[in-house]
Amino acid sequence: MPEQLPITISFWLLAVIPLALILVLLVWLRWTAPQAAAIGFFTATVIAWLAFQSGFQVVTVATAKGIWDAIFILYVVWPALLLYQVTDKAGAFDAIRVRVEEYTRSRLILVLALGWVLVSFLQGIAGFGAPIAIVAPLLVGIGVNPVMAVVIPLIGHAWANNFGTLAVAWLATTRVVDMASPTFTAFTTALLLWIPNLFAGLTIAWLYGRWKAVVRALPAIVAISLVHGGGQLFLSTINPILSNFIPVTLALGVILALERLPIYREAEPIESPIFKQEQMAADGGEPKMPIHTALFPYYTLIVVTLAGLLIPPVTNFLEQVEVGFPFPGVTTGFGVVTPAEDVYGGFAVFTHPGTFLLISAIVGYVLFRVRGFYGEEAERGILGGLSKSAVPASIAIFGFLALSTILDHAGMVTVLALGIAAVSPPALYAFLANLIGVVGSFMTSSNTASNILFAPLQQETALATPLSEGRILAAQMTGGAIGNSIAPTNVVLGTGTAGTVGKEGDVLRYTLPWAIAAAVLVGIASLLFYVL
Amino acid sequence: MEWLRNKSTLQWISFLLVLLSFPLINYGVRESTAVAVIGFAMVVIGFLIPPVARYLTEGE
Repeated sequence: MPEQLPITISFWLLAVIPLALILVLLVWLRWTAPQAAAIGFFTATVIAWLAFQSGFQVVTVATAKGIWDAIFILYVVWPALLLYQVTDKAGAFDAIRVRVEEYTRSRLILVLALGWVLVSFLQGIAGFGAPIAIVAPLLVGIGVNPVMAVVIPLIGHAWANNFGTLAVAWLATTRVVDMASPTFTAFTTALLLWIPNLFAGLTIAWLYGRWKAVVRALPAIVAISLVHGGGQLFLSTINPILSNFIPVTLALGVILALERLPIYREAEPIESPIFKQEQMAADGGEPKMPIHTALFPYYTLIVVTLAGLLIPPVTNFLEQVEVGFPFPGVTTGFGVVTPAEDVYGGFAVFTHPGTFLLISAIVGYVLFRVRGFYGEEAERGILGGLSKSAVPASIAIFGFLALSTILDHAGMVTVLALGIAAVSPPALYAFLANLIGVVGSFMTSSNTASNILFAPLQQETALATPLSEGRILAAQMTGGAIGNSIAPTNVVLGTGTAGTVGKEGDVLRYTLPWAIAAAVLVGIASLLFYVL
Repeated sequence: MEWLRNKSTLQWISFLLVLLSFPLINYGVRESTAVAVIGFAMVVIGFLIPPVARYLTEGE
């Protein structure tokens, strides 16, 4: 940490202003995400410039890095939205809705299956927002109102972030901190991640039909959570890389089996406010498209993703093409140094989830077109629909990520984290450690980035106090996972694909209290670890 | 000037300004401050559009 960086209450408040402002604009004033992101960017730039002594070079380098980080995410957003448009305009979602409802008569289990089990599976293999972009429209397709169709997968996928996508966030953490006991840290992280997992299942059932639904879904929630959370806990000490992928895959089989149970085979007795009335009334229409044709783009997505990521010779071949850009080093007036990089944010284009989504969208388009599922109007509507949702989502993502890199390069992130560490006695810090991870994910929309930003600081704090290094790092990683439920980029991805652009504040009104409650529960568990 | 009230057009302009600023800033911060200034100005204009458009398009 640069010694000149002022860790004072006034600087801490200045550093928190851009983040607080975004929340106020989105949640209370209901501005759209691009508008809130732009104001957040300008505020962060001015504070970095005037208060944190970050000159033109620091701000411009940070802005460009943020734009590049956004391009990495947009390569998921655009193909995901294209896949949605290709599928939607062909009428595939109507077919999916009708056929899926024929398979299970319990809408409650169906919502859990898509919004908790499937989204976690997708997080296990793809990540980078793709699970939200895929599941939100599927939920809209079965009749869930668009805001809830975004809220549910945001909550449902959060727990799977740290060890999901073949444990990319965990691996990144092991690269930035030298852990005394990686096995203990992985085990404790998996234990803490079980909390948001179980909490997500319960919350989704509660959203569906309050306590009646929670009671009805409880056997299914317990069974799935045992597989998800318990499976990840068991495997975390054996193979962290596969510790999420294996349980989330097994859970797909478990939910299919649960839907055959007598209690879930009867017609759903609980009315749910999350379903659109007109959709419920429209039930019973016979779609033209066979179910497996409708799902073919998604089958393609799973097959190409697994082939691209789990077959080493294929992965090694595809990872040869990597794109990244050089950036010079910069230093602020307070001595915050960001070193030069030859290849900043390099990513392997052919193993990026965006490529898998793009292939699936193209395969889907060709299939639906050859089979004659597009009318003239519908086919023309694909690009129009893509533009309508992808462009505002892209502006917001540019803004949020440029803002986050400015906060980082100006040292504002360090002030935020060190400020919390400086005033917290060990017990309080044990409680708050995961909140730092949440803030990191909220800022960067990434569990990985949150861990890279804050894990070294968390470790440093733990080593300077009687706190356990492994448990504090576990809290950081769990907070990083929870924060994905409120990450603006994920929210924008969801609203874009669910056809509810501009309702980001409405989504946060549900996911923000959930994230806070989940962080409090994890904080209590961390505190108990410290006290006991 | 009716295009100024077209939300979709304004969004596209904003998006393209920010996107196309990247190569300019990336080159500018390494080789030429003037180019970086142009790139950063594009970002500023690009990000100004959404809040300004909020009023131009009557609060939408």
